[in-house]
Amino acid sequence: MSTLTIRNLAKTYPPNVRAVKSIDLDIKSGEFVSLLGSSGCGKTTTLQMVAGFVAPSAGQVLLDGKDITYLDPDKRDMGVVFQSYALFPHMTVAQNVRFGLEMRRLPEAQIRERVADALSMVRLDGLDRRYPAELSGGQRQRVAIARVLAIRPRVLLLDEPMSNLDAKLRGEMHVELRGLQKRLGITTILVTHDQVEAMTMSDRIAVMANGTIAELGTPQEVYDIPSTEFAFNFLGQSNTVTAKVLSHDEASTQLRVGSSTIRTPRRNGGLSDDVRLFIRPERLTLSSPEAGMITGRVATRLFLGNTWTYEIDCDFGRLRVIKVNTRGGQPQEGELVGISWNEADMQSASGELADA
Amino acid sequence: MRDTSKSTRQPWLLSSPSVALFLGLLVVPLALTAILSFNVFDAMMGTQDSYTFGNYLEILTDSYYYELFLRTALMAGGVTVLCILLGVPETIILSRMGPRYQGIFFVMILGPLLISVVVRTLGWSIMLGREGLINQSLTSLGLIGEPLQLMYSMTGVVIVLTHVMLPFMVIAVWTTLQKLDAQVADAARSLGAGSWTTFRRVILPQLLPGILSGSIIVFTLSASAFATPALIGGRRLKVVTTSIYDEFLHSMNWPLGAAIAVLLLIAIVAVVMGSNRYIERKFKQVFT
Repeated sequence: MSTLTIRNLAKTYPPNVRAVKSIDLDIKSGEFVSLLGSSGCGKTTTLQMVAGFVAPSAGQVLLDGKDITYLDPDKRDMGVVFQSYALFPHMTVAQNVRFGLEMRRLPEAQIRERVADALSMVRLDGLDRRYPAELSGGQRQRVAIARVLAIRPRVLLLDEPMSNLDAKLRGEMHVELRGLQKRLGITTILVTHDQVEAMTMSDRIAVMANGTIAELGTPQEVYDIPSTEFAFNFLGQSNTVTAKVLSHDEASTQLRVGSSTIRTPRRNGGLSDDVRLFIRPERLTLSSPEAGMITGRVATRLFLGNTWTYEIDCDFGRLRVIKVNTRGGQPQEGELVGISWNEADMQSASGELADA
Repeated sequence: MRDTSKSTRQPWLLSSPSVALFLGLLVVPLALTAILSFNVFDAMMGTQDSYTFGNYLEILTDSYYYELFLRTALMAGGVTVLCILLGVPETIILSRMGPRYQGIFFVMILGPLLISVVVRTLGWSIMLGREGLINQSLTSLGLIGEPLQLMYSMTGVVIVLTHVMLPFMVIAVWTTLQKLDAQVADAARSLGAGSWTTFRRVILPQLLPGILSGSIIVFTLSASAFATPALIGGRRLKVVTTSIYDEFLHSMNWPLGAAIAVLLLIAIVAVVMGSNRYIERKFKQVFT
């Protein structure tokens, strides 16, 4: 299929709003990459520049090595699925799907075949004479997907396509769309603010903030070993604790948090420097107070069915612990507990805020 | 029991002011006009108390009236077509302006409605005259040798009516344009349609309901317009409304005037209902 390369891409809106500062991204053929970020991070503008709806202020977009930065959107051979689906309301489902094929001036027989193929791919056979207003939200989205798959685009661009679906349907569409994308081997960019969506579907995730890519890697990499504090806090849940360096030895560093001393893998930094430590709530385990690395008192606990969420007051602040619900004794509110973790699961950063 | 009687009385009670207004100011005068149109008219004695179909027969058998109605239809149709050709692009341009200019230009477009019909029409008659601004400019530019006959002509009436009617078209198209999803045009582009094809196959069909409802307003108001045809068209270019006026005030043949008025009303209602049915049938599935 096709490779897509984005080089130093930037967009500045007058007078001086830097929507996208500089984006570099190499997308391999058949790869599924998500641009993940909160609203205003520049992810949608980036997608619109790739699609050709917005002219970049600087930088390049290359499709299979060919510069398409300023090419008109109708000459790019890209399929875009919009948040609003953007179906043509005055056309039937079949007319919507065949629109792109008519634009390509394919022979009628081939158009019919491809429309039927695309509709059966998204399991919408038999609805071809309906109008968009007569369809449910999920069906409309399938039409939007069929419409772009029919033209066999070189790149598939998805602009928050699931955000108007209810949670259950969204989950189903994640699996279905990812399956289709893998089967057809289409190079795909997904823009989303939904972490779960990005993690379940992507080969790689680009976490975006302030118009740049803050973190790029496979879903596991960006979740488990992010290189920036921003990414650690943005993805999933996290505990942040400030500690002071006590001493170093070959393999580890001793740190003081509250009244306890803990160890982390050896890190640089002078004695008594402030260090911030991060650890995910599900990597903390509860035990009896004596067995724990630190102790704290259960402030609240929430039952979520498959998990328990504990808020535990320690002498340096509050920690969140997520524990899988195994039937049996769970610590009660007000109970003193010990907290332990695997040292490799703890990340650290120096005193100043690492700006993303 | 008491509750139900209250709930049936209440809507009537609440709507009674508007019902009274509607009856007193619209239904009663219309009914009186309709009755009047069947009265016998005698040139010497005036309106009589007896009734006849004679007035309608006179209109339906005289080719003069056919010409009159045809001229009115052509005038209203011409104004409608011009309003579509000018108003649709105008609205699209307006919708793409920045908010500041949008406000200014909206007021400019609505301008004709803010000015008294007499002032506006007399202003136009100064512009359109043989020695008027338009003829002088065209002559001194060498574009025409002889001044154009704009006053007391169909061209003049259509120009001036278009000027007043344009805001109605712009408002109607504007309303549908606002409901349009901007991403739909992007979708068409990315599917391979050029900007003209996108307009023709995606934008325009979605604007059609607005254009059609704007056309109904423009056509109705133009066909029943009086001041502009009277002042710009004058005696030389008679339309239905001005001839009704003449029958009432010059020939004093009130029954005949009333009959023409009733026929005009029927013609307009037929056009409006016909187009409404067409719109509903054509766009039922699209906008629900």
